[in-house]
Amino acid sequence: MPKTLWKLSWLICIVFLGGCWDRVEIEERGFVVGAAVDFSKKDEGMATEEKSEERPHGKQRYLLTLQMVVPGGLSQGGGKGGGGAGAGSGGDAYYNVSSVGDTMFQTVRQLGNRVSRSPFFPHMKILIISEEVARSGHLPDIIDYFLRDAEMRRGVKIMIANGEAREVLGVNPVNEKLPAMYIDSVTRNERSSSSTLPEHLRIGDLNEILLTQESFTIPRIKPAGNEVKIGGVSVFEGRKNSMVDWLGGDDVIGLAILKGKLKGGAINIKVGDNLVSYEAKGSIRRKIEADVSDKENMKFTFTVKSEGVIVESMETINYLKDPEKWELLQMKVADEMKRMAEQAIRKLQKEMKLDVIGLGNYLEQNEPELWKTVEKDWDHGKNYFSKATLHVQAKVIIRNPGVVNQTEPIQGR
Amino acid sequence: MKSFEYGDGEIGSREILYAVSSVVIGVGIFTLPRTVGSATMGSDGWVSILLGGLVALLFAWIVAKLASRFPRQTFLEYTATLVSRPVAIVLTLLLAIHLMQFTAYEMRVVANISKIYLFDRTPVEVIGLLFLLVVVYAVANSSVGLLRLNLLFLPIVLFAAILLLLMNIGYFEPENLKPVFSTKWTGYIQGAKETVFAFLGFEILLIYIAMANQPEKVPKAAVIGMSIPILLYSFVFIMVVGVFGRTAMIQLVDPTIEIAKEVEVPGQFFERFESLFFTIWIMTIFNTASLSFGASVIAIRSVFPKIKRIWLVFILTPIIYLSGMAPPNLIRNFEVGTWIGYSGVVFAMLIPAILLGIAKVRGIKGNA
Repeated sequence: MPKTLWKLSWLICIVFLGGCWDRVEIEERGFVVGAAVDFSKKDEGMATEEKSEERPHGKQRYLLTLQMVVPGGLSQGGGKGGGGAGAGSGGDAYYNVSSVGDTMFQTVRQLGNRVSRSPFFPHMKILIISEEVARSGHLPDIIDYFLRDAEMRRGVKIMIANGEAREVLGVNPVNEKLPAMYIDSVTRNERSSSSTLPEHLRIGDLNEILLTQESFTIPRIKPAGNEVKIGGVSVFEGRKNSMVDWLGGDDVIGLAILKGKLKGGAINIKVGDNLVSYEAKGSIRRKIEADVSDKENMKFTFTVKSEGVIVESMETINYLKDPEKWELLQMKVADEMKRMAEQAIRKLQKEMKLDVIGLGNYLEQNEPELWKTVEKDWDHGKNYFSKATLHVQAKVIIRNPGVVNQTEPIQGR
Repeated sequence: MKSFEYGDGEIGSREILYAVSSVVIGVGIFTLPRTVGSATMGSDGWVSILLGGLVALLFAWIVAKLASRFPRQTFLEYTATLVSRPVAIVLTLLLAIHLMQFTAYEMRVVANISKIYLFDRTPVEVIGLLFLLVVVYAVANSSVGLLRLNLLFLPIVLFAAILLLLMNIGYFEPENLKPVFSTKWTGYIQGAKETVFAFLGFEILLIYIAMANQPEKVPKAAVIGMSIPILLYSFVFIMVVGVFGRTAMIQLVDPTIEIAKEVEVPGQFFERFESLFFTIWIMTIFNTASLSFGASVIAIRSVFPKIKRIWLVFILTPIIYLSGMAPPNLIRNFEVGTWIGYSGVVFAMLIPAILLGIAKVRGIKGNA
């Protein structure tokens, strides 16, 4: 039956001619989980491209390090150690490759010459920029590629390395196979970490900030042996987008309080001659009241409310019978929060003279007319920000003292 | 007596309702937050969207009112009774050309965005061709089938849209909505103009109402069908502004796709929600393209009844394909989109309003 045969051949054609133009087997994809950007050092022999005087050159040459996954290493269940820059020993779940180039994209493509699996970015988790690059004001140039390419996602977390960025990707965490995933997990710990862990910054949010003249902060990361430490922030000047200084310790907590972004973390207070530890539950609530009648001396009042529990009490207090002590504790915690916030204000307003608290944003949203007149001289030029007066009021409610009332009898009774 | 409801080649008011929603929801939403946001301050764009939506709503009602005044008459027939046959023929052919351009534009935008977000190495020309071939396959068969397909697709598309809104709640920052009502009135008007362009497409009713079996119910169905995209677009706009803030939003080429990229679903499985969202969204763009292509085929056949439908489709397809692929780059394509917007204003608003005015003044009514 020729007609059936005819139909059958059509059917066979359909089966074998169907295909996908963009097909890339998953085995051929090199999943990039992290990237680090440094300046290239002159003496480094990593440049693989030929020199050419006529080719357009950028202002800087960058050293881009990508962390790529070795799927085999993930399943083998072993394999720790080794795996520094440019090297990948058998059994590791990742390897880092570096290359030098004028633009990010060129560098990525150069890396494609050297790795067997072409770099694939949608699963990238972190982008680490070295302090040197951050201070140079080239941050927006670098970010552009990570925003513009459709393969990139806006959820990538960005951090500034204290020192060289690629060293951060070379750490060997004990319980995770991929350093980038390990760092990503650390940033998620905001509920159960110390309050100095800054809120992570997504590259998409950074894009929103860069489009304005706002000054901003980016979390700091530094390698420490097999681990990394994320703590403190780098402060960026909003017009040149260059890093100015670090902010650490209590100032970071103070800043988080002022921004209303403090989530958990211990606050120690001294009661008698012993310490009591308070943990805020849920994020704190912040309200700003502004008196902007005098442009030269604007007054802002931050009202911060926090609720939490007592998690550790070295001082023995009969919580269930002693309501006055609760009041005292609440006051002391509030004072401590106020102290940290005011310390941060001093540092930001009087020393750095940069508004990373978001007051400019507040004015833009709530006093758009006034903002237009002060926008040009907000935290530069006439610097209305540093002339403003900032007050902090804190209110703390202790919900409960934990599951034990006293762990030892009250002494001296 | 209805022995076999779907065998009669007619459509009810429900099909009209779904058709209006499906044809209006299309590629406009991808860029709308940017275009409206550029004209307005803060989050005031939703006012513009509602304003533009109301205008579109009014004219959708006028179109439906006009077409249902002449039950079971084609656009050519009732236009001929209103403004002489030669003028009617010219209008019909121009309408057909406009609808073809509309199809071509939708095809090109789908191809562009698929190229950027889904198929990095497939040429735009191939993606566009494949999309158009599927549209051709749909249009080659009966119009009723085309209209009923909407009943199947629209709920899925709306589900994807609602999913998109829900998944972004976590990234929504209410502060981004401030300041409110700081736009000058000219800004609102400018924003509304951009919105009207995004709400065009309901001019297909001029053609399809001829198939409706209960014309008196059509205006109400058209109005309800029109409200769905208006509400959807307003919610999407507010969500996009809340997530990105106005400053960043107006710098994104396709904010509504970027908002899908923003989503991170725990569990890694749906990690790339934008591919899923966009794939589903292609369904409604397919509806938009096939409905307008189908309408232009019907319009041309009403002038030249001797041409067989399938041949006409084969003749028009290369024309649509070539004119869709003509703009060399993104910015030219956006310009083309603006021009199609203007011609849409003419065919969906100006002409129906004039025709309805003539019909009212001269008291002409189709015999039911």
